Amino acid sequence: MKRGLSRLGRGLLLAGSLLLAGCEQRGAEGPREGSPPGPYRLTLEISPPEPVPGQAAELVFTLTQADSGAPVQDLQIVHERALHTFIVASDFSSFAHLHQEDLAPRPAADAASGVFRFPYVFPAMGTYRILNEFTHRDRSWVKHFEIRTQGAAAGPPPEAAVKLSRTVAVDDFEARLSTSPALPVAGHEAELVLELTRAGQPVNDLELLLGAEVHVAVWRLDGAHFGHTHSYTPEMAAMMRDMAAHPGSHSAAMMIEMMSRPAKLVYPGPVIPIRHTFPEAGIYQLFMQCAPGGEPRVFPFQVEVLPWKEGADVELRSEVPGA
Amino acid sequence: MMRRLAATLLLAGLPLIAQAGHGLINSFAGIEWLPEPGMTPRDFGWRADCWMEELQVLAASTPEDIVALRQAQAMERLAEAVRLVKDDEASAAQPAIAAYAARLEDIAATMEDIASEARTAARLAFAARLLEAQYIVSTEYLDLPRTARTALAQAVEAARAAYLVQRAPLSRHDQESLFFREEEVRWSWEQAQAADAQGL
Repeated sequence: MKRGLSRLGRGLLLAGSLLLAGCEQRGAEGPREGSPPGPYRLTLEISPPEPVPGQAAELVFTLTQADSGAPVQDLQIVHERALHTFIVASDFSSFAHLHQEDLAPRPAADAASGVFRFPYVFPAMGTYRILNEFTHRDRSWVKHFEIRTQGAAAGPPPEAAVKLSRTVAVDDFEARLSTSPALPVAGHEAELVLELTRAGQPVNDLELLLGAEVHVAVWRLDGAHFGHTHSYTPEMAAMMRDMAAHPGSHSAAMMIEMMSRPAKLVYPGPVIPIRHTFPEAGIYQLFMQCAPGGEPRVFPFQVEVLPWKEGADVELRSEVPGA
Repeated sequence: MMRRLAATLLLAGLPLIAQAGHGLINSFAGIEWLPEPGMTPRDFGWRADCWMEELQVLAASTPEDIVALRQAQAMERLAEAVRLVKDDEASAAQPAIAAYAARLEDIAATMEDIASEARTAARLAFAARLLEAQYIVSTEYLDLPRTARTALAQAVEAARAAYLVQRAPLSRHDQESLFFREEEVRWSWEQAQAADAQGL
């Protein structure tokens, strides 16, 4: 009886997977629906529906209230933008962090109808993950899409290759990543320290990029556990200390306010500390975006995160003053 | 019923996309929300549906399977309660809320049957789901009819009590890993209560 049920379960799972594959096909013809579902509905229409690698496609996102269908018109501006969109190839060979306002002010008609639009050139044939972040009524939300370009094979994308790297060269920059603890442990906050040199000289002319010295997008190699974090400032450290000392003092609104106000440059370089808690063990892909001399650059890294076990080294030696 | 079982199994088989979000305010940014409620206590077949679920539990082979089934059922009951409150039918929501609380108690009891080496992970996952349930209700709360929504306080209280029971035996490390989510839930429910106090 138990074995029979187990077989039934596997059969249903297989049938469900096939059904899901069918849904994805149908989804390609109309607006795609962002997941997970919730009180907000984010749809994506791409023109052409199966983008052609190397050619500009138009992405149109529409954000509505799931129940009423009313457009969401009053998103909070966090780090200078209302909707943050990340597009990453499933093998992590390309990365983009985009917003409609990067190109031109958002037209009033788009704002009224909850629409965000911008072009994007999918650089190569394959599967892409699109992550959108927005904040409404002091709550942060994420919606996820998976897109296949023309010619890309159906089915789940292959997992990205492991290329653990702590040093990366981009143009004449060299970026070095160190972490504390030396190998981050799942469920424990780690400090990631980015150090930049240009032609062998320390970089000291970082400018703010969307209200932070650095934006870091994080995925585990299987595409799970997306995160988006920023430089960790003494002001943030003070808030965290206060929060830990006085549970109940936290206000999400206070944190959003901190990320919404005009930012001040704290770290001109060459060192930028960042904090992140990797939720589970595995290999993680990191894209670190910053603007030395005002010119945006992306530095990719891969980091191994250990599973938590009793006696693991989780001690964090911080570079942040006062942390 | 079979469709629901299929959906549950399907969800269990999909890769988890547990997204964090923007900086420090994102503990619940990408969580799985309430399922579609389907039948509710105001429907004739609701009780029969619940009995079928009991049969499913009886047929489950391991404590882990029972916990998974009961968690899915609990979220369905919660979704039904929220739907009825949305329709301004607080009294019709009561059986769903009671069934939700009963399923949480059943999960807590079954947790002790899980082999000790797997129990902590199961406990942690259940605790996280209980925090999510409280966050979801407190988020939905703000848009629900003012008089009916207070019924949901019982569901939040049931989740909170079950959470504290699961949290207590966890190691300090595991308890600390829940800190930000606890704070978000605390803030979120305070917002809901403030809305009641201000008649919003």
